[in-house]
Amino acid sequence: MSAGGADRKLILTAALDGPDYARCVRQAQIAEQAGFHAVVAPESSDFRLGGNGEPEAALEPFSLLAALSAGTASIGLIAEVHAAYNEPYHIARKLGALDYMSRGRAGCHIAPGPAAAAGNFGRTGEGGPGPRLLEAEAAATEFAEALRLLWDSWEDDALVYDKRAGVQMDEGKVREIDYAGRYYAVKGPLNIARPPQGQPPVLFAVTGARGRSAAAKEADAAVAPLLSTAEAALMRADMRARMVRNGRRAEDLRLLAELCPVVAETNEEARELEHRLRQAFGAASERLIFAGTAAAVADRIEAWFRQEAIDGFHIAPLPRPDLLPAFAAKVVPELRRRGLFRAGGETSTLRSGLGLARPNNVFATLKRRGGSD
Amino acid sequence: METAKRHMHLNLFLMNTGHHEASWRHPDTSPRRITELDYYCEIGRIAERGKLDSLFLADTYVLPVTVRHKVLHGLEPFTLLAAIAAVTSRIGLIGTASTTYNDPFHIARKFASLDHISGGRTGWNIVTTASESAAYNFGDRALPDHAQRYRRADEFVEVVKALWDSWEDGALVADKDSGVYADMDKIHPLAHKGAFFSVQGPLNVPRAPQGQPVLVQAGSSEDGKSFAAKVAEAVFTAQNDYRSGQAFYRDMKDRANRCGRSPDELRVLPGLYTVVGDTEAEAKELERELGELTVPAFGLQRLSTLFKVDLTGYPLDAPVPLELLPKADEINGNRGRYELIENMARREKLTIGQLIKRTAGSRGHAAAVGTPAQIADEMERWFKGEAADGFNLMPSHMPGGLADFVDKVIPELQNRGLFRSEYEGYTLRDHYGLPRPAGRGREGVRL
Repeated sequence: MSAGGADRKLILTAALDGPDYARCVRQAQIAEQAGFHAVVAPESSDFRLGGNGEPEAALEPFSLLAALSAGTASIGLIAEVHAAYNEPYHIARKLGALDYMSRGRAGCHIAPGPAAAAGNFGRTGEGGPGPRLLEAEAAATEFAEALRLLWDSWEDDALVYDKRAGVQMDEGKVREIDYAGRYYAVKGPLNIARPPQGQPPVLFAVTGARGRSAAAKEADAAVAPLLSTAEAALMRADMRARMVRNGRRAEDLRLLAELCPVVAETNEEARELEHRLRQAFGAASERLIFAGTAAAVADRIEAWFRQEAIDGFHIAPLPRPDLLPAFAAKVVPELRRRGLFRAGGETSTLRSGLGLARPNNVFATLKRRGGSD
Repeated sequence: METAKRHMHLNLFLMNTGHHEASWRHPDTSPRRITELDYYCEIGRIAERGKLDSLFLADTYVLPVTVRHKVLHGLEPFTLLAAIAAVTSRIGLIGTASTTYNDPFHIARKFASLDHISGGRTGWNIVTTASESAAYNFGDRALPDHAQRYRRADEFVEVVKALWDSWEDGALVADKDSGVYADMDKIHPLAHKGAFFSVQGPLNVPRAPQGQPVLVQAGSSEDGKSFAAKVAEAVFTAQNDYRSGQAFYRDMKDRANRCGRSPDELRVLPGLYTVVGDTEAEAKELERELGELTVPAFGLQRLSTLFKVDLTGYPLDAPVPLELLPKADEINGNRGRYELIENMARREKLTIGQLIKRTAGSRGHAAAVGTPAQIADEMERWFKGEAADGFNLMPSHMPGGLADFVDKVIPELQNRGLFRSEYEGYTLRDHYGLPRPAGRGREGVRL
């Protein structure tokens, strides 16, 4: 699958939310049955109150997704990671484990992490997360780079398990990475072999210019808060240019718009609901809402998708628990009838579901070229 | 949960293809399965069939230099235990996490999440990280010295417990009718500022089903033992014979007592390496087979790492060069294990080759190689003689060695009234007979 062409199909992902495990299981099952490409487990690094004045409690993403890996078969499992408060070594291992257990369905969404959470991660006498927060996008870029190198610290065929010879692995295919960045240093190698996907896909959220620059360097997919097709077109053009400047192919990035779909029996009912939601969100957080009957919502999605600026939508946590099931039950079949969305039930890796190639191992490539490693 | 009949507690110390270092070479094991979820589903089913208290996962933050000849640890504990939680219903899930290379907020959050997902089945094995090379995977700092690591661990654990208690029971209301989701009067900040950490809190996960996941400690150095006496509810330890097991048991219970705790609040669970055979000869033959599969180069490397002395050029029939070994207090890594194995070599005047074979399966833990009745005899002796409240089972090979234990030794223990025939509760605290910690209110979480 490529970004263009007649067989171009919509990508859909949805966020899980809340501290209730059983509810997250239901959300994941709904998304999987509808044929979504992935669910995203949002990270939380501090106690905070949501727009409604209630605490936004959430389960830790890797525990949640690992548990879900056992009860699902085809959906991608994407963990949000707050780069400022984490170490690449821990995260690379967890993604490796999740990728093995789910047979290639793991991914991560790297976000800088909220500055407000710094009070939970103070280490007396150490620098703390300061620089990682002040230069958040640069830190997130390094974080992604360190993850990729850690996964690549094992070549794909390094494990041999030769029982007869008593040799588990080929030492020439496992190496220290000696990563020494401005924000992270990690020696490696990782203590788990290269994951099934090689490198689980890395998503970035893109907002400002620095976020775009970070995504253009490291992201396999980018999630953007876009409000119009014009804005989407500008964003895509800008990302294309940035990717080419970074020596990447423009088609190697999936761009997803953040969406709040509101489906009702009638357009009037949906608009009434939309109005109430906008009031609840507040003027400060304007967001993309498609409200209407299933056919009307599908129309909006189709119009955005046909413009070819975006590859799909990410459904962020929704303010009402009935919105995701309604979207899955009513809009998704309509999209499928229009040939815009895949049939569902496909089992593949997350990476191939997103139409992305399995990356070569950077160290193995260097070695083949006769470069030093 | 403590009834008239005292039962032993049995964990499965879950290690890839088994505890014998050459188990991965044995025809009955499949090392490629150690990264597959199915493998752990199978193990979880066998362990629950045996009504075991828990599965326990050790962990390390480096690739061991010995990896050429020995299987990797496998999957990261939190991720793996969460997946196992989804495919099991009763068994406890104990994961290892280091206080040296983590933040208290993360650890509190991860265990609370896992406790919610598993319905109250988790425990935290608290380690301070013994590997000097782990430091380089977390920003190029040197491993802090042994005493400093334990001071940090003290504060770390207090902060984690306070975070677990920062939501009182009942803080999450989720009342759809009244529209009240959380009772803010029952959620409290810590505003902690200590020698190592400052943590604002509260946690972003409601109080765990167990109130607090079970606290486990597994270091047997002097620092480790005093730490365990203060905070641990279960202690995992390596004791290679009955007498030292008894001495350790008494020492730990006394220490707990001196910390103002009831000795019953602390479960002492030594590791027990097991090889089960229908006849004694069959068990010994399997142990011999496994011994034949050990790779001497691996053994030399393993001892070199432990002793901090390069033994790789030494002949296997040479005596262990005791005069070259450092003093225990010069060891900044795994000091407890160093002392144990150094003593073994000294006391029994072992050659290097003998020491390698002696420790290839049990790694210094007690070993029981024999028939189900023989193994049960040994376990009963330790249990009744106050050398153990139960064991961390270390099957020679997996999953076959576990299945042999569960299907042959467990019934023997049950017939003797030493082990449960059915689970009596749902949480790990239920299995261990430990009380659920009460909450402590707004002022209580201010350390």
